[in-house]
Amino acid sequence: MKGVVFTEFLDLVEDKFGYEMVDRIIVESELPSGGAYTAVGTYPFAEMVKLLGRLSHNTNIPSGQLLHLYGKHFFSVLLKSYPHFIERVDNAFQLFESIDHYIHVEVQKLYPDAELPHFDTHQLNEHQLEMIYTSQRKMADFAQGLIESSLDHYGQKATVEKTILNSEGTKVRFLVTI
Amino acid sequence: MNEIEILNRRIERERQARKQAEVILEQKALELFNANIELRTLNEVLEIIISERTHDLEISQSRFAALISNLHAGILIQDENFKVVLTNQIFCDLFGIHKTPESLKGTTEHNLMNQAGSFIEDPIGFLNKVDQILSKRKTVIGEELRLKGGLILERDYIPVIIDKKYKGHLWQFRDVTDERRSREKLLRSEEKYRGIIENMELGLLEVDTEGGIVRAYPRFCEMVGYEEHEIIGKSAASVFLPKEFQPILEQQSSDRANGKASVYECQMLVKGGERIWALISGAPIFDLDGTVIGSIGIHYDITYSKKLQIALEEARRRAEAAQEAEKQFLANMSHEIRTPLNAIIGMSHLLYDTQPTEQQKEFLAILKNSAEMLQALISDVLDLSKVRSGNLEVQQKVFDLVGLVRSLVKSSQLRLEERPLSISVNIDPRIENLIVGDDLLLNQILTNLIGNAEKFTLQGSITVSVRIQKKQKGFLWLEFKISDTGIGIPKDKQGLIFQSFRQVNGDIMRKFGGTGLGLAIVKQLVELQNGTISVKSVLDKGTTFTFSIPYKDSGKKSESEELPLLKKIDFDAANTKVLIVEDNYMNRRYICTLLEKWKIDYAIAHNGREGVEMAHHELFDLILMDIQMPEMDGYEATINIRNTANMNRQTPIIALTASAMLTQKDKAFTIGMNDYVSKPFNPLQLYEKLTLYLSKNEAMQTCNDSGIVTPVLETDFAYNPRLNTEMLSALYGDDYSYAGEMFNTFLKVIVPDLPKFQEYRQTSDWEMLRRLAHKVKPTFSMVGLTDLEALVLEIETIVKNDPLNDSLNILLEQLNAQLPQAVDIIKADFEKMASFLVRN
Repeated sequence: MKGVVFTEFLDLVEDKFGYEMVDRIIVESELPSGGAYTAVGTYPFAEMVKLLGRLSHNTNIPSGQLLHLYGKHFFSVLLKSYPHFIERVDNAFQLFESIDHYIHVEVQKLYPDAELPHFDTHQLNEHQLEMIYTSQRKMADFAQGLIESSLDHYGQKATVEKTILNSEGTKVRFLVTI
Repeated sequence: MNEIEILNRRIERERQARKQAEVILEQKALELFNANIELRTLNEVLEIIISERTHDLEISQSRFAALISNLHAGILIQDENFKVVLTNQIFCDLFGIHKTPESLKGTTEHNLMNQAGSFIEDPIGFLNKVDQILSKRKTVIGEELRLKGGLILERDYIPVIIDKKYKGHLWQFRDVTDERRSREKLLRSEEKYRGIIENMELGLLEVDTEGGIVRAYPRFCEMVGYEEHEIIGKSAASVFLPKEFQPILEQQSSDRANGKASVYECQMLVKGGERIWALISGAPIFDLDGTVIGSIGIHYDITYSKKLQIALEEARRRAEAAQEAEKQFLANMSHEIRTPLNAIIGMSHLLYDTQPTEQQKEFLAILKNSAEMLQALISDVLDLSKVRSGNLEVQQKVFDLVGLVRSLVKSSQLRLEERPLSISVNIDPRIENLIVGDDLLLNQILTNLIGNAEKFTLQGSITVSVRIQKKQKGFLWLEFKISDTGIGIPKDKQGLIFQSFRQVNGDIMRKFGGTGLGLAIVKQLVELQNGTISVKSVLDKGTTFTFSIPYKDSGKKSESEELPLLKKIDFDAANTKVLIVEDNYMNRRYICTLLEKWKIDYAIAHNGREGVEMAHHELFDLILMDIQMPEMDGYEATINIRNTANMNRQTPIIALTASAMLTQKDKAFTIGMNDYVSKPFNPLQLYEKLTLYLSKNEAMQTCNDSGIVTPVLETDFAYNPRLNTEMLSALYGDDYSYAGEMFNTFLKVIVPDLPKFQEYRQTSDWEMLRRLAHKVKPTFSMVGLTDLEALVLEIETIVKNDPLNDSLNILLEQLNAQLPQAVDIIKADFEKMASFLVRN
């Protein structure tokens, strides 16, 4: 997993709960990397799972909710680092449709070792877009946060209906209705 | 304390993270550096490739440009914006564009099609068509354009489509003027010849290899009565060909398939079922590869000429039938007329022997002459018809020509006995051999010409001479001359005399008689033997007929120069019996009387059947057989006698034929007859045949002196009393033949020399005169002129001793005065002797 996901996560934890919480979950997680992350590095996904688990435990907030929050936050990171992806389209639907075919293609060029989720989009009608999320990382909540932030960014009021399509939670359907 | 520890850990984590980041950055920088190097290398390779490709492209472009500019066609390639991509000089030349093709490239300033349009015959039509083509953007090939100057172009339009997008187009203009002109010329010449053929009333029909009609030309349609559209595609054979001509066409079709042309005649069915005859000339039609793709038939309507041909054939058949009938008629006529005529002549001969009075003799002479004239007339008419009908064959027999001529002359001498007219013969001594040819024809020619000379010469002489004219390719060309001192033929009539029924004038006919056919027959007979004949004549002086005939030399020597005169052949008449088979009473009577006269025994049969019966019961020494008889004719009777067991199988049979036809005579020999006597015959002719066959007969060898019978017609011969008869008798005795020869030699050899006595006297050539006297002197005594011999002896003596003595002149004058009379006596006596000999 890209280092930026770790650094942004730890920055958000410090921002919300103070560095003490950051230090605590790092120490408690007994991470191979020792919790020293750089945005340009790459780290095992298991460390993120451990960190998230310790945070949920320490704060008494379910990890899914934490991930949802982080997702909402992460849109602003993306907007800051890769504004041309977001600015090149006019609305959220266009953005969502371009994830698999354009954005992730470009990401793969920059980070050949990046493991990216798949988003199959189907515009059902003028107001509805169906997105099927597929990833071994099971980070559908993170994705939902990102979808909601995107809609906010384009000033589009919408409902996001989430349906888990299998027991492992690796395949999830989002129905976005404007 | 806790806060410090946390801070320390944080600093440591930050430091660790920075180090990690530095390592990563370092790695990335290195990667970037390597990638840069790789990129540069790739770039360099790429540049090389690009430059190579560019070069290749340039080469191929320049090749393409060269190709375009060298094409024998005007080319204009424009892009979708009508910018000129490429053009060539020919394009500029064709449309009068005074710019180089190079300078036009990339320009759009000219509307090149407008420029081109001003050169086209129909510029508006051209430009409309261009617009139409450009809007459709579809390939258009081979459209014809005619330029104002007479050029003919073919225009192609090809749109350039790349990735399904229109990128421009190509115009191509080819000058096809020559091509078109020659094609038009060819078409015109084809049409011209077809037109000529059509105008010649020849109908043309083209069919494919299956015989299906491909094209029918107007004249053909006119011939058969169909319109072209009615017969196109149909089988020519089934429409036009009558069934019975199917095999002819099949033969023609197979010929045509083999590429052979031919001409044939054929009937054709025309519309309505009528038939016409056509002469068809068929020839195969080939395609460019030389394969037969059909045939063309040239039809000529020959119905009219066919009808004419059939009519002509019918006419010819009728004419031939008529000719055959005429021949039959002539053969019958010869029998019907000659048989009674024979009796008339024969009887008149016999009447002479019944001691008639002078008046009766005169009447008999008239009767005999009239009958003979009639005989001659019939004979001439028959001869001419024989020659004309081509029925006369030229026989190739070995014969004694010299003997034949001499005997004819002798016969003539006999006839001329009482007339002031003599005949002499002159034969080239080089003719030593027997000759191969037709003696009968020669006999007829000479008889005719000598007879003519006798008829038209009132007094004087006739000379017959024969000489070798030339020897050529194994042939001996003999020239015969018959000269007379007769009335002659006027110059302007000489051309007429060889024509049938033409005499010099009507007076001649009345005065001399004759049919006017003789010379016509002579000419035809001479020509039949590949000879030629001509005449020279001076009015009132005489005429000479000259003819030449090529003969083969037999190589055999003639046994005797003289044809043997009628010899006294002895046969035992008393022990001889002849069978006469003859149906005609008059003829029978004539023959019987003759045989009685010659004391020859005979038996009579009245027809062929009777003749055969008698031949089975009695042996005869000779049979005289008439040909045309009732019951059984002479041929049948002869065949029977020759081929059945009887006593007379070997007996000579002589045909008594009234027919002058050669074929009948030939037939007589073929079936086994030995000889023939042509009716009417005179006693001499019959007697000759009898002696010929009876003397041959061994039974006749026993000779009886008392039985000698000869038809003696004259009393004994006596020399002119003015000759030394004693001397002549001593020299020749009774051998008048020998005497005659000597007289003849004297006349031929010595007499011509006698005028030289006077010549030599005038030229005072004494030596020659002496020699002449010496030479001729003894010959005078040989002919009984002993007085003249003495005179010449005297002359010889004087010339020898004193030629200038006056007495020589006197003696020569004496000789000169006596000679003509003496010669006349010798001549007359010789002729008398000859006549005597012929008759005995």
